Amino acid sequence: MTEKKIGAFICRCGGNISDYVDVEQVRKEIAREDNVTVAGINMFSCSDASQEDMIANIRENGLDGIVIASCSPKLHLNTFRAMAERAGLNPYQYIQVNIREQCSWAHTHNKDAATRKAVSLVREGVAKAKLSEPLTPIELTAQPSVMVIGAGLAGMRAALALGEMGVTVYLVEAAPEPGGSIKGRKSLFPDNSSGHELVESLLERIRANGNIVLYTSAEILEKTGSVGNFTIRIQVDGKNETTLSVGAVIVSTGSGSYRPTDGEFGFGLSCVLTLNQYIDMLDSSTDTFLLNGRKIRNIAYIYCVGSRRTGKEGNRYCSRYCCSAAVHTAVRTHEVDPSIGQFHFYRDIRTYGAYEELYHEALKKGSVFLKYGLKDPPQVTEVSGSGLRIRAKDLLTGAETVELETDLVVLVTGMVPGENSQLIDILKLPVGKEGFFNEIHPKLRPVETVMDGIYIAGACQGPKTLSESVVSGMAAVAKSASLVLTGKVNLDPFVARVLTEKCTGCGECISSCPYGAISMKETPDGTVVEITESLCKGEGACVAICNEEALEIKGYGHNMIKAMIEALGG
Amino acid sequence: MIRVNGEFRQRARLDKNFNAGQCFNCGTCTALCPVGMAILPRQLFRYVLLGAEEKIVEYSDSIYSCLLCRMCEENCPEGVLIAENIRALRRYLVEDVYHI
Amino acid sequence: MESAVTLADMGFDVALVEKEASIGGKMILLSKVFPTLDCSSCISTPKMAAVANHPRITLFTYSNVKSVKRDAHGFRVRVVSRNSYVDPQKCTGCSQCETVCTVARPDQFNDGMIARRAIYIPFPQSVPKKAVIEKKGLSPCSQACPAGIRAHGIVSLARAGKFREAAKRHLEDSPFPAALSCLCYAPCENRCTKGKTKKGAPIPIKGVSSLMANGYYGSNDQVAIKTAPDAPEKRVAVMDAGPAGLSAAYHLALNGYEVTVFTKDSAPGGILAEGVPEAGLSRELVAREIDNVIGAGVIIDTDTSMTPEEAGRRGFAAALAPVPWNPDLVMDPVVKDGIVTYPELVDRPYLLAHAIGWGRRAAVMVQALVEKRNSEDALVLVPALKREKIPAKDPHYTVATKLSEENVQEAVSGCLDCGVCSECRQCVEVCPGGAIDLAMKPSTCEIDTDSVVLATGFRLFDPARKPLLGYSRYPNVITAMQMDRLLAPTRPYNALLRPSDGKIPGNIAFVLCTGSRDVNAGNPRCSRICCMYSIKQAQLIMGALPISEVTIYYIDIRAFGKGYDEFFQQAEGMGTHFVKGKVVRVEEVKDQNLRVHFEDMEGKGGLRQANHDLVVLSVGAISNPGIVKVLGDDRVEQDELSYIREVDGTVEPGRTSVDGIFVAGAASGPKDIPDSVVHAGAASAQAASYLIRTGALK
Repeated sequence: MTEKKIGAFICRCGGNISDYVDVEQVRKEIAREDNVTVAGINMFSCSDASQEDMIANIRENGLDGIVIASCSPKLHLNTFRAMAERAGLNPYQYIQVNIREQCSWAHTHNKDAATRKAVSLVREGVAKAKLSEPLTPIELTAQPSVMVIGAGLAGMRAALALGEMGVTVYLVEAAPEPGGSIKGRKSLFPDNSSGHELVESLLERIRANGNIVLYTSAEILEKTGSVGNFTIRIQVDGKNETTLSVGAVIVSTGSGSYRPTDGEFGFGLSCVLTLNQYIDMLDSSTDTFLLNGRKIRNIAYIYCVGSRRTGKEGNRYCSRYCCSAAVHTAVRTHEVDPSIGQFHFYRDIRTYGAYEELYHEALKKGSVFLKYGLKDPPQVTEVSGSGLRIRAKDLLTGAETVELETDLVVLVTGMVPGENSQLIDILKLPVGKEGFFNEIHPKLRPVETVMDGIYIAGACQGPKTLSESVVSGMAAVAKSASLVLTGKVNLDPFVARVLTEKCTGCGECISSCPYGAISMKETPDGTVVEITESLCKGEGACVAICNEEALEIKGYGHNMIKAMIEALGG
Repeated sequence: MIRVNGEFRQRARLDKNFNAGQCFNCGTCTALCPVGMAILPRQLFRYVLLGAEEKIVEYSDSIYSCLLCRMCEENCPEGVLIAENIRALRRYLVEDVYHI
Repeated sequence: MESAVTLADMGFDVALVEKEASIGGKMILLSKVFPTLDCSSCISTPKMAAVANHPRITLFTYSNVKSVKRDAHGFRVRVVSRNSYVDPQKCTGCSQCETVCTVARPDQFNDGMIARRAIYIPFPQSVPKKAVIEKKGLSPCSQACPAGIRAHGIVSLARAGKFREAAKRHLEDSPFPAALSCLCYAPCENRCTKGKTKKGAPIPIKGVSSLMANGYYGSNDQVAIKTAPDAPEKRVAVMDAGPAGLSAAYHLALNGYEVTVFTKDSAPGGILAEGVPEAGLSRELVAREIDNVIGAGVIIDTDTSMTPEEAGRRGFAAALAPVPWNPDLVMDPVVKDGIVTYPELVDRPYLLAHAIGWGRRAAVMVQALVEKRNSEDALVLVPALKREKIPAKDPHYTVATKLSEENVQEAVSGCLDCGVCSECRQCVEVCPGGAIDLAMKPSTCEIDTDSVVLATGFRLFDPARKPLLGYSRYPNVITAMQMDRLLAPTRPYNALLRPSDGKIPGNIAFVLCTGSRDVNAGNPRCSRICCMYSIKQAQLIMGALPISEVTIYYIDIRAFGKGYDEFFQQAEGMGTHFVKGKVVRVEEVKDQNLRVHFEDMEGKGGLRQANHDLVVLSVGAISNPGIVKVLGDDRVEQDELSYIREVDGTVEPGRTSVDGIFVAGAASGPKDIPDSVVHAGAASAQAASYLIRTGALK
């Protein structure tokens, strides 16, 4: 091991550190450490002036390792890595020691002890710097193509956006025709657009775009590879197989619809329909709108069927789109036949944002809204010969019992996760507790999954309205485009490494890896394991499990950790 | 118990001037009413919308207690013309119930 | 931020312009966010850091877009960086300046609940973490002073009890603090805005100066202001020892010149030499003041005659000679044939400030002459008042008030801080990086770009527009933003206090739909965020104050997103009371508690009242359309509520009515954070697609 020449800089942080830690003392003690060539103090390490000073120091003294004892790495890790790089050092040989949040700010009333702790922490950092190695980010080339699975409106729009950017897109749809759940719809909220027309116009643009290939009646069979280089085998029409190479995958498989159980609010009786079934009925009606040949007098809508349930039945979550869909349907119904009385039994009306205007319109067009509580839901019974009867406690009329004779009961049901067990298995898609696909973080990374390069969009991530699905599809486009347009993927170098001389090939580590990054390899010297760096996240379970200490994370080697612990304690 | 009757409004010729269908049950009007009757005016209008004829007759006193001060109307977030609606109800009572 | 980072990650160069001094929007000010109760700062600061460090993003903070004009190549955007008076390259965000600033302002990042200083770093996690100074030009009193003394600075220092610093500050502008406080006709007090208010009296600036000067001379602690001459050619001769001449000498000495003042008289001072007893200025005091001039390094030769020619022969680089001031002429220092002549008072001692000003201007001209520089910039510091502003007779604007250490605070506490920054310069002195430059000018930048993304967000409804709810009348009715600040980690007080008396509240009410779903408030739509943020705040309050009662008064509870309804249930489980019945009126009762009026629809029915000790108004979102007018001819279409319209909301999210201009986030309609972030992603995809299709180079 070559003799390292390390520079250690203690930051005053304008008093934030130096008021509580004797930085001069720390500097003196660190200067005495082996391999510390330069030990200095900065007022503000992050300031441009201090950075330039440190760079000059590095160059003049030929330093090959640098430790800065200052604030949390969350603030300036990248700043100082960039500074190290400007000075000609490998950025990963810059070591940050946090003596602010983890020392001076935590021990404001004991300068002696805080100083001693700071000295220990910096020693630990120096020990780490001594054993640090130059690392380079893992750079992979990315295929300039994306697979979009699911050609509903979100998937179609996403495919089109990518195609228009010059990216090759494979749009894969399981059904015989694209368009998803809205393709047959005559009038979608909020602006009454025709689902059929929307699908057709997008399809026209997709066909005109030479970059997009559409596969229908297609099934995903297998996926191998990782971000930037996925190899996916699909089967079309049950017979023709194709293998496609893509850099990223967008999953936009949509959702299903809740099916009420028999007897749930009268489901199973004739004239009790789900909202989707009723909309089908509206869509297929021609001149006169009749139910079983008769004019409709009243329609009753019951909201939150199968949604917002706390018990074992139904789903816990709110399905977001249904209130808006239901009130819009009521407006449509009124346009078709203004004489129909429409009564809505709801728990909360969730026509959020601009959808509130749909609610106003429904009210204006004569719909009456009654509120029921979860504990006392409406009862639907059949009245022989004349239709259905609903009995409910209207919380808006002092919980008075109301009884309504109606020809039709519409159960406003929500979205449920689609049937995708095979796809989930093949792509290792993370699934949340409700069964929808899981994003990494709803605010920071709403369309990304823990499988790098695989994005989720639309209702498969959670119930959404149509425009929200398209928005989420476009957000997935933005993320996947940044991968394929730059043609490169840069991954942090902190991945696992096998010390092959110690590896016995027992394979215990393979099952510990949630990302499938470890596999067996035959070598002339015996069987050992090998790491697929592009899949490894540097999580470390394999490191812990290995009895032989044959695995370590780059940048956090065993020797280094041991040296750090010794330096801390000593 | 109320037997919901969707045709009541039309039958009572209350559908044109009566825009209380716009109400989304916030309670602003009742809370501001200086007369302070629990039934005025939101609950009352609900009875009309549900077609509960007997209730409307039962509360005819309340219908006439309204001062038409418009405190409610000025603050109604849905723009329900409450005073006009009360007057429409009074017309209904006079012509269709009491036949005066 | 999301749009910028996403586009930059795709390989595009991005300029991000933010009008505040830090990025982060409203999110960085929040406590925790629903439905996960993540700490808001913890999840936004990494994004802020990503923006600041991204190699393709250029960040303009504290800047406004003045115009966006389409040209042959794309758009030309004019960005004006507001004048911060702090050099961001040198500022390290150490906050020392904030601790010494003498002017307090309501803190806009804490919704006015506490004060910040005129120089401030917006909040601890600011990106960039640099100070800015709020400065609205020069306060009227400072503008009025003919000597260029920053009267506001003196007052603000006195207000802070810093009399020694005030004296020091005065001495940077003039050597005669005591004389001025006796003689000056106080044009500063005449211009004082406080004096122009109904029943208002001006701040007694002269009285403050008097107290300051006497205190200074009374103490043995004298400010050392002597500067050694720094160059042999900087030798100047002044032909007279009147107040203007002494002032010129003083200012030249402060700037490193070796000055000799020649006077035929046996004592220096000109019309002040014998003192002015009727104004309370003794000869001894005058001598003491002249010591300031001598202390700066000026040599005074009494009983000596001198002419400019003789001075030249003796090797002086420049000479200054007085001309008696004539009230019928417009007079100012003038350079002629290498000699600077200046007006000097021969009577009218009340015009002392003018004399000092003339001397100061003469000094600047001498410097320009000797150093061969342009004197225009420096002359700005000392205004040359027009002739009509120099009163020929003493207008007696003020009767000097006798102030003492006890009553001076009260006397100056009414100062309105008209120009905000008072130029007391405490920050300049304390800044370890020398980053503050009060003479800084704003800068303008023209950016040529191919596309524009509008991500200007929304504003919150001002509940003063619903007077029945009592906001701004009753101190314990606050907005939800103020409540979020009270709960945030960087909260203004260390506990959850109510404004009127600092009591910890035990019974809190939330009024939902304040300014939303309300045609009378001008917003018939739902704002989407208020139900959820109120439920969030309810949970946080119950966590912080376990025995408190929280009641939410609602029309509908809109918990529609992923995990939102579960979050609502969680609040119910914690004991939050949900009451259907919008609160229409709030009135104040005993102890400044509040009584709310609502219809208790689901309870006993009818009109009901309830008492609470704190009422939080869950204010809704309104549009923030100010940016539209800078788009000029490319004005994007707006909807009825002035949000930026997406021309096809279903299939073309983020696209406006103008090609190349896109909209991201709440600028097109209120959204919560997850929806804003996703929408920003969509807008970025639209922008990227546009840029690639139109062949704009990456």
